[in-house]
Amino acid sequence: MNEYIGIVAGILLAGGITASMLILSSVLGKKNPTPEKLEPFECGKEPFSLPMGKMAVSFYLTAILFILFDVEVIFLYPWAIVYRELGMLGLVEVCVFVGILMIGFVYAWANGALEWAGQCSTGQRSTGQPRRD
Amino acid sequence: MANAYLNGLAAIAPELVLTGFALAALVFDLATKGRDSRRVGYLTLVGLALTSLLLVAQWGEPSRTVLGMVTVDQFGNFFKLFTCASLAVVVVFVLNDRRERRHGIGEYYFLLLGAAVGVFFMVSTNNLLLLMLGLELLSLASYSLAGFHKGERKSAEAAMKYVVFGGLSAGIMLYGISLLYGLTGTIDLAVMATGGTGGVPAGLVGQVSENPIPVAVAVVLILAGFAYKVSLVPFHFWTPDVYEGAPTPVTTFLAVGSKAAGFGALLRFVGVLFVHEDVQEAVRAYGERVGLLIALLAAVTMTVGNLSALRQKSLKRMLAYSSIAHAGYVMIGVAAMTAGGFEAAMYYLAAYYFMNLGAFGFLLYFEGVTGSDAIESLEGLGWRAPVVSIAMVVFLVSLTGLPPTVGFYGKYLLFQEGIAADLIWLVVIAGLNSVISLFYYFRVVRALFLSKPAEREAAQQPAFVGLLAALGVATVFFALFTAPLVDWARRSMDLLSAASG
Repeated sequence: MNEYIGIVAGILLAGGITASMLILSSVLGKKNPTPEKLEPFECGKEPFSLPMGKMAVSFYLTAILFILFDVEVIFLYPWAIVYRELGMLGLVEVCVFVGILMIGFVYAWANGALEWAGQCSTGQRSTGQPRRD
Repeated sequence: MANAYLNGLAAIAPELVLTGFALAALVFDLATKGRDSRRVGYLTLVGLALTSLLLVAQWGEPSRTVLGMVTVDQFGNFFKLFTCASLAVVVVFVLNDRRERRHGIGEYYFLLLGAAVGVFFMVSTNNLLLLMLGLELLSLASYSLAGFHKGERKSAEAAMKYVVFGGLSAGIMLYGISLLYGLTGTIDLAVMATGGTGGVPAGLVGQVSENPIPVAVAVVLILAGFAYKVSLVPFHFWTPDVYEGAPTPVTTFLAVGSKAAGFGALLRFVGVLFVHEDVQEAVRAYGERVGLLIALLAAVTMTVGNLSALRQKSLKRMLAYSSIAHAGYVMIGVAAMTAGGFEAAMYYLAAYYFMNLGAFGFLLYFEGVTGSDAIESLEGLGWRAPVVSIAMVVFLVSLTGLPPTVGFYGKYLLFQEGIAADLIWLVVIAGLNSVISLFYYFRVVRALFLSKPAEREAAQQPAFVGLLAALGVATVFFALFTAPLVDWARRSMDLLSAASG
């Protein structure tokens, strides 16, 4: 059982700090609510919108590119761990792998996939709803 | 270890060269900023020629497995060489497509080569994981190719339908593979079929008697994945729409290269798992029952394909349904579950290459002339473009299965093997279907020649016309001299005799 004491302590500590922060700020803090402040907060994005809204297609493009290079990094980690055992051959292999990905990167770049300009930069706002300021 | 690794790389040199050229095509197109994509096409042809040379150099080498999962053998070589050849023809089609732009289509060739890499790995592995990867590579390239004309509604629709169907069936197939893996503890087909000895987990042999239902579910799910790829009924719904919407050269590749690759992988799956000479008796008996299921699929497929083709007004859709029907014929050879049946199926696939490449080339030629794919618009054009039209008549005779063409000899072999495997009912259905197919194939001939000559002038494309004529000659030649193709198919049966591992 002893080895779990640390985990329990961690949970208590984390929970305690969070709870005390919430409680203290609600007891001691000033209250000056505006409609904006009462909204659930999510990185500046409007939390609720109708589903008919259009999404700029550049979001998907960026997401695809992100996944591509994310996977690259995932592959590089195991290689870095066994780097010594694989030696020269492994280095060449990884260079080929990264090289192929780089060609894809250059292709995406040259075709303007990385440029945001000219696109509808605020896709989620194109529903025509006025902002509630 | 490094040495074995380098030897492995040497064994997959064709695949490496093909990959290299695919990347080179992309870089070359980028470097020239998409000006004059024809040069990318020529580069692609060089790459295919080089790959074919490397493949020919592997002629007669014994079967071996390198890098743990790639099996280099004559069986795979057969399909790879035909893929190269058919892809070269498709590239010539793209270069001669009068409705295609000349610039900014370098990706076309990159995607075609990428699809070929997928085909190469798909037909040369006993490892279900690599098989799936190759299949997905082929599929992803095909999806983008089908939607290559982004602005066109039909092309976009084709790509969308293809993606949805493809994603679903890939999922189904993966589920089947995971079940099979769970049951046998391996993803290597050879180990699965022969396992049960020497420390290997039970393999399939124990499972077919202990867990018959999960095994049946797994096999049926995997077969469904293949059935989608080669468009067997009831997994054929995407075929006509995708074939119609995709650019015609892409349709040619889907109907010929992609379908043959599907058959290559299917033959390997069924062959190594159920028919290989080292396979344990219980598994072989089980395979014969699977063969019966395949026979049933074959009968339904050819009947539905032919009956639907009867009503088509568009030549492109008609050829799509005809390709479904032909998948049914090839399945007779698979259903036989014998080396002879597989040989017949492979001979028929070779025949299928010639006649379908030709038929789609004809379609492309006339789309360039008339701007439409309706059979009616062909009326009287036979007198205007006699060489191409006579070649088309040869292809249609071959597709129907009448002598003296490869289609006839291929069907003869298939029927013979079908009868030898006690599938007489299936052969009777196939025979009746050939009679039905006569009606719709000869509607094209009637439109071409049995009406008064058209006003319109034919297109002057000597290289293209020459290629079609050569395909027409090949269609007859390989029927008169059947030995080369039959020998090649027989040589490819090292699939069923090579030592596993």
